[in-house]
Amino acid sequence: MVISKDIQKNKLKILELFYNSSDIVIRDFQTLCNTEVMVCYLNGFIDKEALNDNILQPLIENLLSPMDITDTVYITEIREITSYQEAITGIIEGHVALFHEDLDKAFILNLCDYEKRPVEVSGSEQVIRGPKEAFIEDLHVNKTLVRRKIRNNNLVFEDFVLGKHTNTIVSLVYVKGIVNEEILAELKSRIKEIKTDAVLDSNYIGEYIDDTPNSFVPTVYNTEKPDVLAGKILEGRIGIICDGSPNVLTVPKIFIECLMTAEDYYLKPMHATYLRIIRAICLIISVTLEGIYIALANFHQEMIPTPLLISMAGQREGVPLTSFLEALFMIMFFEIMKEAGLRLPKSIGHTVTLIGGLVIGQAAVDAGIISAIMIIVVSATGIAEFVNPTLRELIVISRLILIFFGAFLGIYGIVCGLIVFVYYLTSIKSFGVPYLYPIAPYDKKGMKDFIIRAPIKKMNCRPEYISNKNSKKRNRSL
Amino acid sequence: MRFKKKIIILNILVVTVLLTSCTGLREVNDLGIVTTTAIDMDNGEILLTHEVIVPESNTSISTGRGNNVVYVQSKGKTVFDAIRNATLIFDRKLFLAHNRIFILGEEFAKQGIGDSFNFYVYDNEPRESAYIVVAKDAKGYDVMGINGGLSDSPGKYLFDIIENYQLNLKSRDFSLVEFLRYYLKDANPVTAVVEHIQQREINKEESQSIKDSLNVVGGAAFKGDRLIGYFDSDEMKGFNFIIDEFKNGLIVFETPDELMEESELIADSGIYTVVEVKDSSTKNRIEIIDEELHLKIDVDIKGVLIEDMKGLEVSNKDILHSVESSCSNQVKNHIRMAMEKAQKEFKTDSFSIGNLVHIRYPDLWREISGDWESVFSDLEYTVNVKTDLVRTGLLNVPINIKKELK
Repeated sequence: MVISKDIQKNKLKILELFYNSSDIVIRDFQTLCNTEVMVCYLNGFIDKEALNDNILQPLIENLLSPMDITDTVYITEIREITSYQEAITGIIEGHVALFHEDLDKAFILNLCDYEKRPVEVSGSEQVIRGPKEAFIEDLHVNKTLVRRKIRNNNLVFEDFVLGKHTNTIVSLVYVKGIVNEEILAELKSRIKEIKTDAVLDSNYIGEYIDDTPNSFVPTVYNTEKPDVLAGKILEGRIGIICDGSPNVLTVPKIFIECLMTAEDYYLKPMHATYLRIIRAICLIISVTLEGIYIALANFHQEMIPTPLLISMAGQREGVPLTSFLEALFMIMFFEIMKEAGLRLPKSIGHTVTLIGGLVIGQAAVDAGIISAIMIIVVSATGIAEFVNPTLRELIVISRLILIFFGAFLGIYGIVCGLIVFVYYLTSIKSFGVPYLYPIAPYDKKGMKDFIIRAPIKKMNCRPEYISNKNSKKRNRSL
Repeated sequence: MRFKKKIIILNILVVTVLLTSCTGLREVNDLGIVTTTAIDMDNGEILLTHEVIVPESNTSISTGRGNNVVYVQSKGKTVFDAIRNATLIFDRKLFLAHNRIFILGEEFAKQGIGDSFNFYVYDNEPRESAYIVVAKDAKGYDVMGINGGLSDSPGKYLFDIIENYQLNLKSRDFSLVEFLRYYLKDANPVTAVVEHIQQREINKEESQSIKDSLNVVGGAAFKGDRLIGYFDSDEMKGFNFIIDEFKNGLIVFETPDELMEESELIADSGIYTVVEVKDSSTKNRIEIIDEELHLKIDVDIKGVLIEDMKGLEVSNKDILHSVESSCSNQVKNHIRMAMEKAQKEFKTDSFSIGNLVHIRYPDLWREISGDWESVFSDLEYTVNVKTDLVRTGLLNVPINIKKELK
């Protein structure tokens, strides 16, 4: 509907469109040339001081003709609109709409300023060395954080508005020239297909664009740190920043990214490699240890060294549950403790861990309900799980599956399970990139940033499958 | 079509899993963990004695030293029969995978053991790496239950003193798999021996008590699968030299007399010198000399002069050479003793010399193999030993030589 010249009519229309919502503010006033002007905005969304000093005051004191409005107000961002729908969108985005009685159009003034969390140290991805700032909920601040890492006109933000009711701005970020255009086109088509009423967190988007939405394998990476995002998009990946969420997604994702941290690139290569090996070992431990223990204890006692077997037999003496149920019981207990510690306020969380870990764990062993070695196995697995927090969902579920395999089929089952698991991982693709790249398909250049983190000087090529073809990170000419 | 395919694949998976999976789930605490088995004959029946570990149910630090064990004895017509009969008198299933020693009663060993070991190869549980020892002059179960060392259990104690063979080559370790190798090749194995000894318990109390220990010195010679006699400690040294297993041990010999004149001694009552062998290699060659088979045994020893009771001036090269030749002579003696016993007493080729003949002279072997034992008994042989002393411990001059005061 086209904006009318009648201020009162406009006013009623706006109020009607917002259903007289209490946070809509409308103010009309006379200017110098005795014409009526109306501004409307949402309370709390704008910088009121700037509105007073830069808009209202110049208009009231200096406006001579309706044609001069853009020249009279002191503002950097102003655009003309002609329909109510555009006005509504502008107001919702936190802008000020300005109507004039002699014009059948309105102006949207960007005076957006609202309360937001300051940029702080990342809570979930802590580093000892390297940048510590983390994204916040505000999209514009997040964009700034990225732009400050990559000061280059090739860095592109491309906005989409998603969610029928929430109208959330979702922004793709990539570097033109490095990004693989095919993947970009695919991502855009997937985003355009999203039909949803609400986007409250980036995971809402993540699930829509995920290649394996029904699986426990994560094929979308998420990070909280601008430096990680910058590193990813400089390798040709595409970031998805969602307004209102501090977690930024990147695609495509390959498996090895789960074992990497930002710090790998801020430490010396040898130490970084060492840490990656530790993480890989922890991944293997956290997935397989419990299954292997149960398989050994139930089927393959001959493979356990004699002194260990004797000690295990002693501990199992008088334990009422079978080792399989014992393991399930312990894992259940461990998960409960983890969840309780996570959800409770920090001060109580410690108490829960203490009571759970020490008192109940110790008491269970003393009472002969659980064997001590089972507690060792479960807690070793649990600690190893925390080394790779991004893989938690994968670890927790695949571990349970392997326990079942181990308890019913022995080592044979574990081996079968692992074969099927690796086979499955090989079959997955994230936006056309094989999940196990660079092992399958093997890529010698990609191996420089795999388990072994080569010196930065030596990593000359971007991952072939992810970035634009033939793009080099660095060579003599750069 | 797709659906049908899925069903087929699912079926294949399920069948593979079910047909090949490990059956027989058993909890650790349902097992009787056997560490040692003694096999004896009793009125024509097999008598098995198993040492079974008693798991400590208390998880706190175990009291006292080591594990408790119980002994389970059962009889049967065959080995497996006896093992299964044990379930009638013992509440847990005997778990043989951790059995590390077979003790053979002397009587049983003399009757031939090959048939009875069938089960231990057929069954999937027992380990072929378990050691075989013969209880000298005793029933197998007589030497069980004796712990003269610091090990957790009597079985572990016996296992450990057998493994000490690497430090003292007066004995040997001999596992079931080696026995099978000999048995299948129709050769004559020599296994380890264990005997029960009693020593005085050293304590400060008035009453003297007796301490039981085991001693694994010597070797038990088998003819095929039948025990025919024992090698003593010196003969075992010779035996280990001939089969090229002597890698680390001592050679004790009398100090050559003529060297003692020049140096003035503080103490001179000792007569022995000891060389510790650090490395040794033996080459046995069979040749035909004057149309007779002739065995040449060449031993090359690298050793350290480690003990010298008579004040040898080892910095003198002549003396050192003389010591070397005395050492070689002693080794020759050991070898001769072992050969003598095998040739004259056992009339059995315990060293697999026949194999050498087979390899070198296959045609001749075909002729004489049927009568090999009598050929072996009269086999001529020469022994060459070369000793090389590479070091003389930490000293160049022994402590019992009087030093001239300046």
